[in-house]
Amino acid sequence: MLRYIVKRLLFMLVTLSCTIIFVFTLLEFTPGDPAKIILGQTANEEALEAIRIQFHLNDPYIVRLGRYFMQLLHGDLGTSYITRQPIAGAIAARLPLTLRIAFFGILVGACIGILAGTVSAVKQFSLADRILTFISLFGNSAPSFWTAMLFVLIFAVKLQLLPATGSYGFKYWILPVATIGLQCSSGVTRMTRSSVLEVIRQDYIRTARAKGQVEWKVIISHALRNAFIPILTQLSGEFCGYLGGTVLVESVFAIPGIGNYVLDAVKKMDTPVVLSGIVIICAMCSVIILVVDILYSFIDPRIKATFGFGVKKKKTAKAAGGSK
Amino acid sequence: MAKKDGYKKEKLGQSQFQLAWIRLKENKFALVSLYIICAIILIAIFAPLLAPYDYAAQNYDEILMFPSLKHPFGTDQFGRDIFSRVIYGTRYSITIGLCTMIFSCILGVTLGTIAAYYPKLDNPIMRFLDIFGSIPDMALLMCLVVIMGSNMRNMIIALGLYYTPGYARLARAKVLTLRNEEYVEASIALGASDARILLTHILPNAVAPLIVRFTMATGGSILEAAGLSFIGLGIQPPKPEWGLMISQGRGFLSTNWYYPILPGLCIVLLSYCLNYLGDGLRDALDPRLN
Repeated sequence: MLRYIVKRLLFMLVTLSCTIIFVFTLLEFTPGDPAKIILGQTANEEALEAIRIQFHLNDPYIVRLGRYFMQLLHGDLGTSYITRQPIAGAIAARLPLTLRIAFFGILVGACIGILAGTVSAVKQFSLADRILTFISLFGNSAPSFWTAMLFVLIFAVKLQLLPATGSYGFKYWILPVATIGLQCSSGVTRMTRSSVLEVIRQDYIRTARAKGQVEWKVIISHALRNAFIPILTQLSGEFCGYLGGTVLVESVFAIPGIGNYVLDAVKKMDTPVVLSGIVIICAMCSVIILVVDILYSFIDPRIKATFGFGVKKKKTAKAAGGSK
Repeated sequence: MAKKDGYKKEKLGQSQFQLAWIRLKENKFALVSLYIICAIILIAIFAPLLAPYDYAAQNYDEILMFPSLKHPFGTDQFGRDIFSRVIYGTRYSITIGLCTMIFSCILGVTLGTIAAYYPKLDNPIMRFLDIFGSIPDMALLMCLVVIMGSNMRNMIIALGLYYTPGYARLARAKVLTLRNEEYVEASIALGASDARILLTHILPNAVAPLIVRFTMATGGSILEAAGLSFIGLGIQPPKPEWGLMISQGRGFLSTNWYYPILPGLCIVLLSYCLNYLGDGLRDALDPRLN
């Protein structure tokens, strides 16, 4: 087990480094002179040159890339062009907000989605199945910022039960979490439905019924457990998506999360912030995919049995990568 | 069951697509979705004829009017008719959705096919696409917008690049299984060129899952495009894009709810129909999956 985790960890670090190099290279093509972004278009040449030296903008690409990696190893994410503040502190203040609404949103979405998906698979073609399929497809088709505004309209403006914007306490989380939960649950419902439908026709389900097992136990411990791997893959994919994608929800509810932070930086062409923001988001994603990969082995003992033979790595990498 | 009737109408000598069309026709809701999508495309083409007002015409006598017979969706803070703007908005969503998908489909299928057919190129191409695909959607799109700037063409390129890895994986998986089919071996034995085998034997057999993905991902890309416009990184004002209209109307949510909500409803309708049609197509094209 330990050997497997170490192996996956190394694999993750390699992928993450490649991603960092990729994003760094991509942002090299940002148009405009960074020194002018820092000082404004009217700055004189001497001041610009001083800034270029201060931010090491004159160094060749490879030197700056190397320096950025060294910085990352020291936990330094660079300095913002606009505020001239260290980025690490700003991200540390904002990341918990994003993680909190993403995590609870996914949790709500997973609970509702797995329940609804199982019900609609067990009662295939029933009225309940049709209604649930309709709702889940609706949740898939509604943009999150629009659902968010619909929730604000109903619960904050008309009923005046919950606050519309801000992030000061439990009451303020409910609407963002509900928005993400609704959207996430629709994807999970569809995945659970198709996954359970596939499993429910297997011979071992018939065996379980034949030996007289009660129906809910057949569904939960025989069907659902075997159907769980694609669902988990879907969930990890959604979580990764929401780390960046909460920006839409954050923007409606005025939550100062990491999405809004990066968005602000994008609008001001503050490339170090964009770079480090995306790197942090990708790093979180890698960690989530790693954790999910390890969770697979607890759900499916067959995966545990193949540890160390190299078969496993390829399989899960494909499963994790195939989510989008 | 409606589905079973469909199979009865199948005859010998019909092509796969004729059979799929017969099965799709049995699915009434999918057919309705198809009609709605066609109607929206027609609206987009004939927008200037259908819109009752000019989308940019400002009328300060009729600011923020509630929906009425004269203005079915009401008016905005400049007195512009929201209904006309929504009609013109179909042009943006349809263009962006289709162009994005055509772009990413061609690029992704090419890359995926090359990766599957030439094992030496498999690892470099797919690992690169894995890295590309491992960046969450909004993060990647924001990154691309920084480099390219925000306008319609760049948004199509950015969204197209974002959807490319998905197509590539799908095409690669399909080509890998088809490559070992007997009819492919037979054409290799007959001395057919790689291009001929790929274009006339492999790709036509891989097209069904691609069509399903194309339909569903169009809906997804329309949502992403609206999202980008909503946060100010896509289409810029005063153009009547749906996501942008929601963004401009958000300040009026408490007083004039119809302003941001109705354009959003159009996004939901279009994207819902595309998703439903995609579901229906999947069932029709591959009955085994049902």
